Amino acid sequence: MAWLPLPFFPPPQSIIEVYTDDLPKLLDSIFASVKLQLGGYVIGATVGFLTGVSIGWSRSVGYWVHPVLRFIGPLPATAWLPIAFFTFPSSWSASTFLIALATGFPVTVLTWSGVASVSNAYYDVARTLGAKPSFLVLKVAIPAALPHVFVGLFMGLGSSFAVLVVAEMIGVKAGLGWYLQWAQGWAAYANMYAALIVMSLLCSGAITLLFRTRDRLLVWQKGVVKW
Amino acid sequence: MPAAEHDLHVAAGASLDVERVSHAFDIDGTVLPVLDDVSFSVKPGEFVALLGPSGCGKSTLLRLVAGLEPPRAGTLREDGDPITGPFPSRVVVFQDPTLFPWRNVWDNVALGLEAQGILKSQRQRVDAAIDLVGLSGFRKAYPHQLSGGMAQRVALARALVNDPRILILDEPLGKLDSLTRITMQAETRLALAAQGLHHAAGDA
Repeated sequence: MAWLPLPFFPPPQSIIEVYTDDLPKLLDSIFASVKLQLGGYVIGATVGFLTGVSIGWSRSVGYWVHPVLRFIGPLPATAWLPIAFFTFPSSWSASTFLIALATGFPVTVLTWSGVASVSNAYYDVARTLGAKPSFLVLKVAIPAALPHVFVGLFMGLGSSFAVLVVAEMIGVKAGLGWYLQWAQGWAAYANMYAALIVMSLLCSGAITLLFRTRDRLLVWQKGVVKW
Repeated sequence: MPAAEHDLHVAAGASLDVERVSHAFDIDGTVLPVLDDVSFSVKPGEFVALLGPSGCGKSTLLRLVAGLEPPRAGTLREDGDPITGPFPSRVVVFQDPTLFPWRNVWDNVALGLEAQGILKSQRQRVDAAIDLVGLSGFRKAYPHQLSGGMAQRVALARALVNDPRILILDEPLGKLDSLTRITMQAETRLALAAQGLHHAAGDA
């Protein structure tokens, strides 16, 4: 086993031991990460969805929001880290903001493109049947754009994981990212792998949950991507 | 035809007056005239077909009748009142069925009543319209599970459920194969007769 040098590659049983020996700290970290991620993601997804629908629907809102989106959106959310930790009252609110930002951008862009690409024929049909503008937005534009929205939610989830871990490693004194950093600092490599496994399970669980939700909401779409 | 036709009230037709209507489209800055000084009138209950080569402006005129676009010049009147916008008394069946893919057959047919906010008290009208076009067994089916002819029948039910006074048929059978079209023509005629409705334009 010379190509797996010992301190960096602990034996499997010592990784399993971490789950019994260091359980309270690990659970605390999981709880902190899930809380932070969930808060930021829900805020980002909600704001992104509403922004996307408004700029997709209203030309004048699009006129003002588009340049901001164009300028700030492509910037990786982690680039805001130094400013965010300085300007926000707590590292928790700063990280929530960054996670929301990382989620919000893809959700906004894809919701917007989804709403903008709805065929005029659908609006014509609804209008001849007596639909008011609110009906056109809520019952035509949004359901038609929903497949795009889910692509945005999926992309936002991926980039928000990255921000979460970086934020926890740099500023927040809790969470799995912090646990990873801490374990590495003590050369406790078994703990590091244990945390990595948990992290991977949580991320893949979150994505599975998102796909399940989509499959339920978009049953009308046949042959959608399987996960 | 199923007995359910009694559940659908018979709406009296309306008269339609097209007075000196002209319309044009802007295509890349150049104005393309489509309709030039068109006038005709249709009496309540009359069945009128517009014939002409492809691209002569039949669909455009029907869009104006539906109120989806205002004409560049002239007026259109329904029972003497100028047409200023779409209204469910004038319903269009388009060349493509354009069913909403995220709604099943029942919800697609219910669209008009839902948009007008009267679905809750009028649910039986949706069932009656679906029975009328002979799709009772497909209430829960999604559009992608229907054949072209079935989809077009759903589109017809979606129009008829609103008790339109003017039914605008914009070649609704144009994209079907000839055998299906012949069957559908007969069925459409029966469905319209059951509705007491003969007021249409197009190639049904």
